[in-house]
Amino acid sequence: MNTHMRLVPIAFVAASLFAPRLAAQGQSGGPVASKGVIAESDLLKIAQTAKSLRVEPTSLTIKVGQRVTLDTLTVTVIDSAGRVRGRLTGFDFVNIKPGEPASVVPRTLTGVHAGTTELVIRYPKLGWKRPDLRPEAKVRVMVTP
Amino acid sequence: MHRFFARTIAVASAIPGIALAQSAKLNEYGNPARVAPAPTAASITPRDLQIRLYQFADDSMQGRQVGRVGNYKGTSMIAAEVKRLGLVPAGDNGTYFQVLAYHIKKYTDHSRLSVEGNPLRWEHDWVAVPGARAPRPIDTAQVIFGGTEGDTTKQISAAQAAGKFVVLLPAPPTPPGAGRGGGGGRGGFPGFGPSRFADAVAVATVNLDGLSSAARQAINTPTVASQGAPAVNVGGRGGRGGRGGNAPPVDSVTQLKQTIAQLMPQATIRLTRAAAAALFGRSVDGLQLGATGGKVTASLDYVELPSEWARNVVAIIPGSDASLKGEYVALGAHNDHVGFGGTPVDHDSLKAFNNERNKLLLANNMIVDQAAVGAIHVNMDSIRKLHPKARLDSIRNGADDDGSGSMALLEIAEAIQSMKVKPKRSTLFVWHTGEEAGLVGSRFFTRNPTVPIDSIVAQINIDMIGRGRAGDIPGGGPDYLGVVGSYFDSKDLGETVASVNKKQSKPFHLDYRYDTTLTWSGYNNIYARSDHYNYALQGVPIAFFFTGLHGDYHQSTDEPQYIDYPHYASVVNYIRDLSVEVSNGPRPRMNGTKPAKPPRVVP
Repeated sequence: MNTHMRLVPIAFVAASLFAPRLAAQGQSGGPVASKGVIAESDLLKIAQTAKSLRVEPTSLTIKVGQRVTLDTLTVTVIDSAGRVRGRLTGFDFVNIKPGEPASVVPRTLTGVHAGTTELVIRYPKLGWKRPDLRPEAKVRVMVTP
Repeated sequence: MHRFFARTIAVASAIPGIALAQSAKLNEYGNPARVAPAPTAASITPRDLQIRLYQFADDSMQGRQVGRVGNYKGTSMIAAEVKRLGLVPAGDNGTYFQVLAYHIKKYTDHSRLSVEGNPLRWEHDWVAVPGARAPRPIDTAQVIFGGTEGDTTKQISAAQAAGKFVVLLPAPPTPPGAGRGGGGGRGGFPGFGPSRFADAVAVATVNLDGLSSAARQAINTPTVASQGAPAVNVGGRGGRGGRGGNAPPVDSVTQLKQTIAQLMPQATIRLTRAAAAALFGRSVDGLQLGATGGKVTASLDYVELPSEWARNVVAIIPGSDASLKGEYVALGAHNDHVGFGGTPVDHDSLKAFNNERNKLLLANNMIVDQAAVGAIHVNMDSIRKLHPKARLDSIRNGADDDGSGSMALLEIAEAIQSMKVKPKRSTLFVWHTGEEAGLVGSRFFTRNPTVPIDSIVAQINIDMIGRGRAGDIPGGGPDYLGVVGSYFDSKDLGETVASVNKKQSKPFHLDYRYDTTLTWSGYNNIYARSDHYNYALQGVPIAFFFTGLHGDYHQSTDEPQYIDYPHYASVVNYIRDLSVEVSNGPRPRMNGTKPAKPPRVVP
């Protein structure tokens, strides 16, 4: 049981949660990264004009047994004017049904058997209060023997 | 005077009971001083829980504070056990761990402090306590007596402290108010208000005496510091640590951190009494507020090291139904506690005091009567018959908070693993870290879930389920169980909680008062104070179980020998049944409203 929420430790910790993402973004460079990682505190604001998500790469080929963490995906938010609003790190994803060629738990794509399936990425639930459905992006996943 | 007399008698009369129990090598709660490791069985029993908890809350775990080696040891123990039980890893890279990105700051033995040119010895006379700020070098700063730690009525003003090397006497070891949620601690971080001495070059508390050499080293080994945003260095040479290279972009959170860091003193130090006397040229006893001493020169040298000492443990028992195994019932507890530190106190004296203090609270509807608390007198003669020497203790073991929940999850995992037909949905076990630091681990997990957040049909959180006796909380007893928030987000889940309880051989009296916000002083904003809250924010229906804040909450007396194991086992069996029921039943529907949020915190 936590004591009353005290400002100081929470702030330290909150900063530490975002900092590594920011550092990683700074190292990766490129036009998308230069738009910056979307801070959690900005998710609701950006959601107001978010139109779609863009995920890169749009397809992945992995071997059976190979693992690829979802953190390797670059997910960006596009607004209604077509502008890139920033990069999502804590995006949501949808489970791949059992029996499909790949699994996505725990937050890692794993090749199960040869074939093709799809991974769906969603705008974070935490930052979405609009009545319409959250934007999605899909990654085609091809699993080879 | 009359009240004083009554309290004295009460303590004294309780001691013979302890003495009798002690003669049978069991305490008044029926528990031994130690329990050796032994195999556990699939059934959930008081004995199994005892075996697990005595290890997990042992002194060797050092209070399991996030960012400290004790937390690393605790999480290693949990992971080893779930591996033995055959659970599926659901952390990073095929492991059971989801590591939070932290750095730890550590001062080095290159740190120097001298008064009028006379050096004080590192880790012998003084120790620097890692904090948020990167201290500037101290150059001939005036030593000033600032008063008593934690008591602003006996302290110098902020203006008097500005630019000075402030020395404080330690606060007397008064337990925090249970009705206020307790004080806990940040493990070795003195409890003065941060802003009062924000402009001091250092705040040094005279509380290093009595600590072993290892304990003095441990003060400096640990604290969690942020990664990527190096500690603020306002000027001067500072330390030689830090990340260097490109500074990360500054976002609002980083700015907030920097702002708050500015409210802290430049450096936090702990001193021996002898060292304090050297600073003033005389004993600190009897010093007047604002009394000055010599001039201090110091340089605190530190390094920042990457740490894996903050990590959630995550594991899965796959469901048995092909169409439902992609959904999860999440069971949660927190693997951390508040560590150790502060002035060591006599364990037995503190325990007797806590017991008496809690009796006063119970008699007064959990409202603190400071005058009555101040009048408590512990009969040490009786205690000394049992323990001739004071047993100094500075480790907050966190047996109940949340050793009880963490070990409950292991017992439930063992029980479910032994089922021939597993529950239809998968069971997700998450032992969160950093709950005590502000729900850090659950916050990280729910923002970076290793299973789809939408696939979690419910989260059942367990935090402090090992007490709940009549002497602990109002309405306590063998059938007591507090449940929080079960109807807030999903009426379906709330009804399942109630219906599974009715099926128990001895149903609990479920205490829903914590949901009723302002109606009683024990409310304490519990709904927002444990890990379930972060799941609720994500729209996951939650139910939180606990057996109440008690007199040993966040104290060095929260130890395994004071747990009510039969009651504890009953609670764990019930939660196992609830988990299985939710796993096999229809998905709990959301109420269609935003997650409930209490309107305010009761002071």
